[in-house]
Amino acid sequence: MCRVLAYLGGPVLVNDLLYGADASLVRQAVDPELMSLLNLGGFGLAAWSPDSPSPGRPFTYRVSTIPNFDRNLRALAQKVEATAFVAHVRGVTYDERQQVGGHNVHPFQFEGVSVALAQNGDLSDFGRMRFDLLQYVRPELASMIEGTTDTEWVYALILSMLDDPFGPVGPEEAAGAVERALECLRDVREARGIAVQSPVNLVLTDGRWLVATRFAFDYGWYPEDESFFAGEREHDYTSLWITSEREGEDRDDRGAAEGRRSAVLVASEPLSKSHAGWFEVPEYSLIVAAPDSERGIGVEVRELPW
Amino acid sequence: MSVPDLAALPLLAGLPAADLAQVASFMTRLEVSPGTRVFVEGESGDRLCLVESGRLEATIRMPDGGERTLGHLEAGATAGEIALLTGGRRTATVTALTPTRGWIIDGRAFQALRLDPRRGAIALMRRLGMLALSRLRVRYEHVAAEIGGLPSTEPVAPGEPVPQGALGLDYLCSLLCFVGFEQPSYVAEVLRGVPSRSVARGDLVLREGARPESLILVARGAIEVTVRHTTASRRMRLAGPGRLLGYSGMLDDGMSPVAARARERTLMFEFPRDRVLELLEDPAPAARRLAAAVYEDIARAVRQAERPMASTTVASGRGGSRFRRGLPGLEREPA
Repeated sequence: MCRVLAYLGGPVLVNDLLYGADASLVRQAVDPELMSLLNLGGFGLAAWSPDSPSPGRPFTYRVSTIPNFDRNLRALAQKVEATAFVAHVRGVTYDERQQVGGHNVHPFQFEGVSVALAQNGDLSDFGRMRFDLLQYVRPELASMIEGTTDTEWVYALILSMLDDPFGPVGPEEAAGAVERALECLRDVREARGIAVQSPVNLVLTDGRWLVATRFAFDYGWYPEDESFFAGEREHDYTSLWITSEREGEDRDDRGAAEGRRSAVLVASEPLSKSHAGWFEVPEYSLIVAAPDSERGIGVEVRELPW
Repeated sequence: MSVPDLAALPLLAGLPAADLAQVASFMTRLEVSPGTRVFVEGESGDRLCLVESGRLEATIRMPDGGERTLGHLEAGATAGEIALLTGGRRTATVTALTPTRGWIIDGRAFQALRLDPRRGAIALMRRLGMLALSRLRVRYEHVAAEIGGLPSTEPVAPGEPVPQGALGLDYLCSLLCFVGFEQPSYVAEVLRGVPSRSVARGDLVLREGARPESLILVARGAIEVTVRHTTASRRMRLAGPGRLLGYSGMLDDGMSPVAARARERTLMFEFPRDRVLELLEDPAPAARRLAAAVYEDIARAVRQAERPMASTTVASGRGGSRFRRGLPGLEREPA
């Protein structure tokens, strides 16, 4: 389980997103409010700027250390502006079997693919699912998997559900691919008799839109072992939160709440300790956020099909 | 403080003098001047306040640093019971606008109160629980009115009985509602003879507008509590293992304002109504712990029903995906 943060909106300094709040993502690495594990397994970000060379390609930064002592990250964050952004601190259980390294740091983005993905989740018993998934993952994508995480496989699986993973992808196409990938994972789990709670909170973006899920397979079916997940009884760590910035509130005839949305933030937990202005996303939901001529940034929170 | 003073408070109205005397032992006087913050948003909810006289204002912080007024509290009001019952943080700041007098039950007194077997303590806990329950019903009914339309008339699914002992006592003791049960024997005692059943994903377990005949304890899986009408649906809560439901309509003797449906395959215990009512009044240690767990769960449901949630568009169906494309079948492993 990890902490993830994604942004879509007007240009903003990456520093403000990573450090600029009393419960910022960087602080969440070592002081998360809604989970009991620390997030010590690495840090990564992808940030898009339309003013940069090759604006379709993000600025990326991925290290297997925690961000709190990272002067390079701080210095870069103070210089880079972004209109879209996904960042992640990786939480792993305190276990020597865990593989901590650059190859397992989120967000994942294969060469030549416009979509990046980060996850706060854990597919229980993934080792038994991995090779079943091969039949659904395109060979050219399977060959790009470098790490050992379930997330990278889920990423390859979602891309495989697209008509052309290496071409432009729209938000609705991405949302559909996510839903089909979840169906596929459910089938594989059922076939393997895996029936243990497995959260799959995904965040995907290509710099122009943002898609996210708050989802869990077999919610409430704990593993019968000594793991973190077996002992966890409060499920705040699987929650997802959203907040928006709006413009022109005082000039809008329909009132402040109807103002054009200029930015949206999605996060595993609010960036402020007070939670003021943050809305919790219901379980089993899918968020689609994309530019909209009337609404600025249109955001829809959909209940995922049963 | 005198017992007649307490008798004037709506929360305690009608309690016999002997019970009021017991209740008084859990309280301390509150006297504050205008401008005093009685509760502060974000701080630990470690006490509740009964207002005898004066006027207070409840506010919350806004993202831009400003404040918004939620409402006012006057003589007879009770404030802070939800945070005290759940052990959560304050969701609002309460500030005295005029000289204010009242009583406080602080966290230490509450810990003693919740398990106290005396009749006055049992009555006060019951009333705090009912206060939370009335707030929950108001919230549910408000949402139903917003949504409009009519509730579904779909029948409750029968499910499959689960044999006694199918879930180990160690596991049951780990459920959230049993965390305060110091001894496994207390858990075994309250569950003795309580039937359990399993339901499939999508099964309705409680119908809106019906009188709940049992209090449901989720043991494994998850049950979604919704106001689901012909026009729209709003999820109020996802109750996972160790959470309870069905008290709205059982303890306040009305009809259920919500429906409940298994979101995952679910194993659940069903406490019959008479058994629940008996346990809530029973001074035995196991029963006191169950009563405290029920009231805490009600307060948690209030928190969840009132939390700012992103509103969703509802999926078109259940029990299958609109998006299934006929993925190739997989060989199933033997169970």
